Amino acid sequence: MTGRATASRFLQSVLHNGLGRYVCQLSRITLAFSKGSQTSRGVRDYVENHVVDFAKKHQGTVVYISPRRCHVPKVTAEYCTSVFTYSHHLLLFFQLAFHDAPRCYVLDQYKHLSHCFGHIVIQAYLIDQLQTRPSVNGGTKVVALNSKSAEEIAQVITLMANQSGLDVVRIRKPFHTEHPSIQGLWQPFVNKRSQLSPRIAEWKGAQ
Amino acid sequence: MAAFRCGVRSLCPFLSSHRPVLSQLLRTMSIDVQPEPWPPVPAWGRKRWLQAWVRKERDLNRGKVPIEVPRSQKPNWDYDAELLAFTARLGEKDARQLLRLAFSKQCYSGNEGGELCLEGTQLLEEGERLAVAFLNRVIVESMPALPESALEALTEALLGEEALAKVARDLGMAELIVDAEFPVSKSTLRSAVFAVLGAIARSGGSERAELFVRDFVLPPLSWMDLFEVWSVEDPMAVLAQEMEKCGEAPPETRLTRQTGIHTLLPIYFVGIYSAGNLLAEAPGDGLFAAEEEAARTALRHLYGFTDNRRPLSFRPTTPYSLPTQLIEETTSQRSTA
Repeated sequence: MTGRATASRFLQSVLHNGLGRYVCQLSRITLAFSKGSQTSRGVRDYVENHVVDFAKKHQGTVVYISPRRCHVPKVTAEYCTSVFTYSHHLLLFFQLAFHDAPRCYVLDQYKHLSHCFGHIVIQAYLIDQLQTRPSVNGGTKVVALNSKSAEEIAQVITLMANQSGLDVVRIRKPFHTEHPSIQGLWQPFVNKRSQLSPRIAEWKGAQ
Repeated sequence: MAAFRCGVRSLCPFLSSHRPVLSQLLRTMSIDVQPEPWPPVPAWGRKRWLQAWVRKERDLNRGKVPIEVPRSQKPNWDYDAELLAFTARLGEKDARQLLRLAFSKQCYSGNEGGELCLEGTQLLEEGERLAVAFLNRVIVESMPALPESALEALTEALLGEEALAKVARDLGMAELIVDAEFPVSKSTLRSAVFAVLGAIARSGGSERAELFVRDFVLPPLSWMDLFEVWSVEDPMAVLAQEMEKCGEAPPETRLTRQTGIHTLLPIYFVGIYSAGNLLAEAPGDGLFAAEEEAARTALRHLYGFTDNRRPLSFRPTTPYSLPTQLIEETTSQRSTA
């Protein structure tokens, strides 16, 4: 597809991040995986061995660990961004909202994590609507982690933590500035002697 | 069991073979309406054998709007953890207790009486005062010639509802505010920013609060145009006043260039001179328009609010609180609790 047909945006940052201080845009990630399914093996490995290091490194991100019955383990990243452009993405997952009372339980093998850090929360809910559309609160990105190893999952999650939450689409220009011209834009009268200048010279002479 | 397993699978109409069962399930359980898939399905995804179902679903759901719900009412939400993460993100770990107060809208909207409300309102006022004082100081430092009315206008624009609502949203404050109303209104977001400022000032000192303002509220000043925020009806009169104050000769206008004057799109360049020295020159499509524009340009030069002015300084860089301290805090808190 041509560049014109696919989505694109201009280079921008969220709230001029980095100008003053750097604020990590990733506000929370939710790891949904299965207790016993083969596809969740990598995620289970990641949760047992690597997620705490990630949480230590990114104190500004809440990590929700949600073991539930699912075929495809996912990580859902939510950003602080309120700026969002639409892109045609391949992640079109709709999940059902069940109106049973949400069951909340903590698995024995993951209980130790709840004592370590205030910002890792382990809950299990029945699946709720997870949309990849931008919402009033901020951007959401979902990545499937089925049959990925713990290292690959770590890479995916680190990538999400380093992103700004803005769409990953073609960026039209690799630069952006609010002041495109310092000396002033050229217009046909620049560096041209004024036809009326002899009169001005006279007047100046008179003064 | 079968129903549960059906529901667990990801609903992708092009791939799943349980569509009629699924839709019946939805209807019986009266689920909130599934929104239209976004972005719209590409041409190669619209299967002929699926169209009847899609049309039926759309007809059933016509006129229903998906209900937007605040983040706190969706699953996986722990307010304490979120607040902790917010403080870590900004590097303001001391402010956590007061931030809890700052984010409860009731405290500063005056619904509850008592001490809690008073403290919340105090935070709000402190924050606002601090922000205004800091912005005034910075603007006066960089542009000392600016008059009072312009200063007020600039500060108002930077601390306006639009600007501060954007700041609040992009920092993730909208989700933390405890408010019955959803979506949170811009005025609430603005008040929340001031309350947060107050909380930071009380716990971390006014320096931290000023750094907050500098990093998040001040930057739009760099690309603001003076006359977009400060309305001046007669710039020529203002210019004459300014020249008188400086003790210089009054401004005189002269036509310097013109082109296309007998066409539909004439352009006149008018220059403003003071004792024979050119102050500013500007174009316009009529003589008066050009003169007004020239006066505005002259004022911009006078106040130092040009496009090529020196950029604002963001040094020294904001010192970041050490993350390790946060870990120790939370461990001790959790073990005692």
